[in-house]
Amino acid sequence: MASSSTPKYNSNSLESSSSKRTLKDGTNWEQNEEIPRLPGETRVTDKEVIYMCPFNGPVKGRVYITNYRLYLRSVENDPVVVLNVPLGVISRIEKMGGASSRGENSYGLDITCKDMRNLRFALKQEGHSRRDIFEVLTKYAFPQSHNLLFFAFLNEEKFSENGWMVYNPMSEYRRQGLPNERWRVTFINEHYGLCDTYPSLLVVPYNATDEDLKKVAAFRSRNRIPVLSWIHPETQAVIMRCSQPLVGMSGKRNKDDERYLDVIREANGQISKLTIYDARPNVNAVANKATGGGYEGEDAYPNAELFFLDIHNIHVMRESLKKLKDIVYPNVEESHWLSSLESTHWLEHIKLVLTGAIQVADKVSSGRSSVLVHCSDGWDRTAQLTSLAMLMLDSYYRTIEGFEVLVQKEWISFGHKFASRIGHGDKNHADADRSPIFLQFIDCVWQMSKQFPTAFEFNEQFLVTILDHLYSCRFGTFLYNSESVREKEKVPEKTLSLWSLINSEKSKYTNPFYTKELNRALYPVASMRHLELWVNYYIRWNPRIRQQQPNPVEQRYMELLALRDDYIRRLEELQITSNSKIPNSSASSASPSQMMSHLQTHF
Amino acid sequence: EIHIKEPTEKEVNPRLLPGELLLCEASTVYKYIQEDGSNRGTCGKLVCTNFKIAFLDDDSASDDNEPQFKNKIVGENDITLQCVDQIYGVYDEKKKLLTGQLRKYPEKLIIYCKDLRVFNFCLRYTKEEEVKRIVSGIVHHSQTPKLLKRLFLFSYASAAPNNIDGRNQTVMFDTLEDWCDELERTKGNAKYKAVSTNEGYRVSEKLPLYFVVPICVSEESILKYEGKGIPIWCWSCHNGAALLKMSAFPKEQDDITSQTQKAFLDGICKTISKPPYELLKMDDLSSSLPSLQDIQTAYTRFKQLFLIDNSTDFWATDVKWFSLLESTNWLEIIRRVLKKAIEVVECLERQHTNVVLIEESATDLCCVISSLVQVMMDSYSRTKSGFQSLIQKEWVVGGHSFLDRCNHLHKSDKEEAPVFLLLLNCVWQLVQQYPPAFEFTETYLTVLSDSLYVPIFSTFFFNSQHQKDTNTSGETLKTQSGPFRFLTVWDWSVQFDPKAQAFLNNPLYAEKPKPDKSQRKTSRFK
Repeated sequence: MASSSTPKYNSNSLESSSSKRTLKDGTNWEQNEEIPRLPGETRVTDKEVIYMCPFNGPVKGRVYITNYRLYLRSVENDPVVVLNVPLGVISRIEKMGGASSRGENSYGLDITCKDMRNLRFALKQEGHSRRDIFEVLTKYAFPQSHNLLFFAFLNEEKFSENGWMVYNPMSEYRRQGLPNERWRVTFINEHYGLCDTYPSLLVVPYNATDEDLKKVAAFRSRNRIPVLSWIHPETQAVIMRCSQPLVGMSGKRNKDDERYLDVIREANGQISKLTIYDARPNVNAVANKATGGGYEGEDAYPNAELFFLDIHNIHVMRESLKKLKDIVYPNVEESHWLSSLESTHWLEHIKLVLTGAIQVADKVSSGRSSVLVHCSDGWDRTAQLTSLAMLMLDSYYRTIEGFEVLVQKEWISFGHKFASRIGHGDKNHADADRSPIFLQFIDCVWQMSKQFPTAFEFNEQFLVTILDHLYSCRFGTFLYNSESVREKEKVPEKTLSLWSLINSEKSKYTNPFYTKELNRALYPVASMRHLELWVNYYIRWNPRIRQQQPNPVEQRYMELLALRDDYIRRLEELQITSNSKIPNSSASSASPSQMMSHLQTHF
Repeated sequence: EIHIKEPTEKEVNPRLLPGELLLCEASTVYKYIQEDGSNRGTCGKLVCTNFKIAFLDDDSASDDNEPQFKNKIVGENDITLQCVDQIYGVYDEKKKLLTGQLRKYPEKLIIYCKDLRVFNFCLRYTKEEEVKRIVSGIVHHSQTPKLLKRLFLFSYASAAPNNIDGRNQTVMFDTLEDWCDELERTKGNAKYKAVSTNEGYRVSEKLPLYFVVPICVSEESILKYEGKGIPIWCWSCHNGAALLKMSAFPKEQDDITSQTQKAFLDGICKTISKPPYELLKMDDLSSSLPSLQDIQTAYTRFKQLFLIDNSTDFWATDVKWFSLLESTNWLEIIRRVLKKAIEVVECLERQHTNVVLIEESATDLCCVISSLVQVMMDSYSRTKSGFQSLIQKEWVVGGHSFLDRCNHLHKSDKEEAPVFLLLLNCVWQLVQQYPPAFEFTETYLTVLSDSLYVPIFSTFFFNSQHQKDTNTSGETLKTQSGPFRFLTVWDWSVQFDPKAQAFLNNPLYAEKPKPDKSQRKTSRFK
């Protein structure tokens, strides 16, 4: 029977190696070394509970809580059921049932996680058995609400690579060929005086002075002025990012902003109009005028043409993901799966984001025109669009390190509000600022990797790992809202980078099908016919839906590569022996090398 | 508007197969490049032969970028007459279905193909006389009822040089020996025997000459009801449990007849559900699976989603794609068929129970389920030659009515149902879920389904072996170069050169040395 199959519950695939040992004998329970622990991780409490597994029914076990994770190990099951959940993924802890409630297993805790699952534990109804565990969990899952440090600040892990060295803005701009005679690097924001949510180093048109920038800042929401994200190596057309102009109800204009946009257009030696992509739906952009925002009007910017990309706001995306969770967890809606999936609109939003990014990329590449991208504040939809367009246009960002640079640059340094969007260590689960914008971006990347299976150096595991640690708080990478805060909190000095973990074990995250190809633009098909639900992420907790791991195709390919190498080696050996016998055999020795060049893959 | 290029003077002639005759043609026809929805097109000649409709590009001589994967028989702009699904004429921007006699001739011709291609031809610049001839020619030859002997299959077989020996590793199941070998391979010979009772089609015209029944079944009982009510062996599982199929007795008004039939059937079932036989489970597929009518309706709706005229329609339907797909019910049918196959597998594997699949003629859904079960349980069926042998065994020799189900002769729309396509679609789902387990690729399944409409192979152009035999033994069918012989689709070199054939093989295929053993192992853990 399928229901009696008991797969391993490994919530955190990263640590699967440390939780493989199984126990047959209950007497060993108190041995600490049986519970995986990171350097710097300390045990807080443990308790006997019943884990209400939504797939296989109640599981008797013991739960251990540390300052980093919740760890459960079953007592009776064989194989042993293990739950290994970083406390950072917890969004909400609720008590279920009261001291007097009847019914089996009706008294306990219900934990909502940020990674598409819920955990329920039933406890004995005696004493105040759950009060302790509830308080401990609440305290360590929400350290920000209890004046405690994130675990990232206590983590004493050591890695062979230092992930903080991956992104250096100056060398990234140099890689792009910047500065040049048309674009300059400015230090005007060195102490975040111009804009506190921007990085300290910015690239702006050579013909715009720092004084000009200050004037432009006054007309852009939160001073997020148009700055360069990427320059096309051949067309010299650029992708610029910013926030909305402060037009307001009265339709205010700003000469400096208008001139600045013209300077951007001219920097490309471009005669045609500058293209502005406003990520929002038209009506939302208009509605923003009521709160002082708006968009670039035709009268004020005659040399620009503006398109709306119809991408909805953070609240719409949050509700969409909620609906998606409803149809996949704990049970997958089987009878009307496709129409249920459609009604969540999740893939439709993915489609709109991808469509927008394709338009940006196409304009810069084929249209040879510079583009300006913004939404309202320029830290959610704008980051999605610029980073996806860059991924489509620049093959460097499709390597492991290149992708780390892209995330570090377009998301982390340009002030995507990770702390607010994810709610790191914050107990306020209903906060309206929370939204899965970054998840949506990673989903778009996954969709691209499905459509171009050889174009990315990284595999699916890489993307899943990034998302796992988006919540885990084990690394400093995604903590806080902006570079200025991170600097104040001394994040790079006091915490580890996620890229340290990944780059120390790169082979685990490498796509064996990757073939290095320079400067090929990738345009995914943004049609519902080609988009898929990312089952290995969204439905990975369900043992009946989860796809085979490791990926059988990848595994088979690796086997064949090993076999090929083996044959080549043996062929060479044979040639050496035969060459020593027959001195003149040049014709036969030429063929294997020809064959090799044909089969050459970058692995 | 159309960018008109002056038609070049040079004459482009269609490449004809042996036995292929040019019936009519029209020049200055424009074929639209439909993907972009613009009015761009290429100018050329539209021809109709007794085999295909072909568009000949005036510039075709200059096409130097030959595709890597190319069919030698049916080119990119060729539509075999059997591949035409529907033809529409456009009159003043209005689409009208063309079926029989035409009073007015259209400006535009849209051809929807059974392999889901869509062709748009503009006839506005063609001479009126030629329009008349080509349109009525195409409609007549592709849409009106035909006699079996008028199929191109016969002209080709009599004209083609007959030195090709279709022998390859595929087992054809047209000899007693083939069946005995299959019994031995699956270790079914202890309880089942191959019989030649049907030689001369004494028992039934639907059954093959040779087939396999339980050892205890006598020749007389096979003869008694024309082979109905007899469990016919398909395959034996490693544990001895067997998969059988049986055509049901027709519903009799006469009480006495149905009583004797019932008694006869009960007798046989009693014998084969006792040792040495395993327990027996009967599964009447006509009540547990969708009807052929349901399948045809669902597929008709489904295929409509892919027969799109232009990119505007494509994007207009895109947002509602998932619910449109769901509403066709085609995927639900695939799901139900796969579920049924899993159910049968569990019976055989876990419960050591014989399963008898029952259907009126035992040649439609019985073929789908029995093939799927074997693909799932027998790794040999996941090799190319094993899969081909399986299709021979269950479908071609097994008596699936390809001619009627594909409606090749336009005899009756009621008989049409994409049963074989349903199997290929289910197998494709398995290929998607277990990529290294199959020796063949998605491309293989695609070209196999395309071959349903290529009438140079006999494989998919008869309703039964009896029909094939009676139509080849006639005296008129003698060729100059020796005995009359049809090609089989399994000789892939007819359609593809070796380079293209490589696309049919899965480079990641991981052959399992001892498939049965590993399967037993996994099931124990379940």
